[in-house]
Amino acid sequence: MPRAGVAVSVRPDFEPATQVGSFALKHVVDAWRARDLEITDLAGADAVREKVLDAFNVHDPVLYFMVGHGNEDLMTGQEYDNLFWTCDCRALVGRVIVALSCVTAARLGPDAVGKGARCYIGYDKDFTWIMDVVQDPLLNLYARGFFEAVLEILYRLMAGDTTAEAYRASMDVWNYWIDYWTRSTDPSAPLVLQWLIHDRDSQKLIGDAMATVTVAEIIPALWWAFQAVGAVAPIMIVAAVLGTREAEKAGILV
Amino acid sequence: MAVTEKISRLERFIAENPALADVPAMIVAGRPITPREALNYLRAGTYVNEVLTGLRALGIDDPWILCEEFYRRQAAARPELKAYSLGFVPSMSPAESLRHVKARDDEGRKIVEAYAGMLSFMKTRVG
Repeated sequence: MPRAGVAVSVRPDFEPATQVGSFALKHVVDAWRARDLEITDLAGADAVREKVLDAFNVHDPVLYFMVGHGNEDLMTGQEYDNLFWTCDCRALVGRVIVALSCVTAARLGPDAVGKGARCYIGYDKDFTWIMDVVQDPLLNLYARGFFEAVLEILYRLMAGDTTAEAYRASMDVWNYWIDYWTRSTDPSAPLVLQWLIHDRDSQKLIGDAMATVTVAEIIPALWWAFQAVGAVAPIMIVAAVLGTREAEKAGILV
Repeated sequence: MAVTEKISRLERFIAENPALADVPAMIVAGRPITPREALNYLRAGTYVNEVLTGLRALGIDDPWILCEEFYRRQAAARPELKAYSLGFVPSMSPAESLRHVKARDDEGRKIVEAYAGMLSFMKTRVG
């Protein structure tokens, strides 16, 4: 069974679009590590199927997230290396997948979930954004909104939200930026707005809406529960002993 | 609805949604026009019936023609901005997008569909 709190990320960077996506997902990789959660980050030349399957075999992650070119039936990695495709999703069984890739939610995503993937969040049309210079999109005025909406899904999952909660939070971010650009007087605002609306409407959640990927919030809760039980246990024991003695005196217990 | 009321509504729409003010949204006298241009016509008392019809039927006019006009304007204004994509056409400038729209090919169809989505959004804001 895939291990909670464990992730594999795939970040090809062989041309501008994947470079931008790779910059964006690096923020999530860093945040994941900062929370002392386990992650295997396959970037650049490592963003290929062979390494992804190895990572799955060794680490068995509950969360798999990626950026890469895609179509209805295929998601790709570095230099268009085929990662997963419709009818070849066995390795995704039990996992939560977040795919920043074009159109994979049209057929690949439903196929993966139909064959046992826990949940698939992706896009059923071309994921498209506006940019004037290739850089970290969170630093770019035009691209920032697109990628903040996508990263919100992963940050929320990392924080323990369900897939539905993460998805809804992402929608809020899409709507925030749509409203922002609707009110903008930048001459390029309609160009940005067109694709924000398009991408938001193509974002899909397929499968288990109640899936979570971390146990980070459960472990501290259990620890505190044990501490609380430990604190009251002596009192309960004394009360039990006193109560027993009183019962004996009263002849209730022999 | 009285023309004066329609003018007020358009003025409010443009003030609250400046990004949509210059998006070609209807065809009047055979020409794609924007909400700002529609307002100017109404104020000038020209093509009033055509503009009112166009506003009522927002989103009905041929999106290919409207989208072509939009990208013609964008190609002239901000040629350096690109649309990047994680499909198999990784990037397109406004001029390249215009070529696809004019060619009415698969990429053009995707662009026009996205444009039609923005017109639907505009319709919800015009009211």
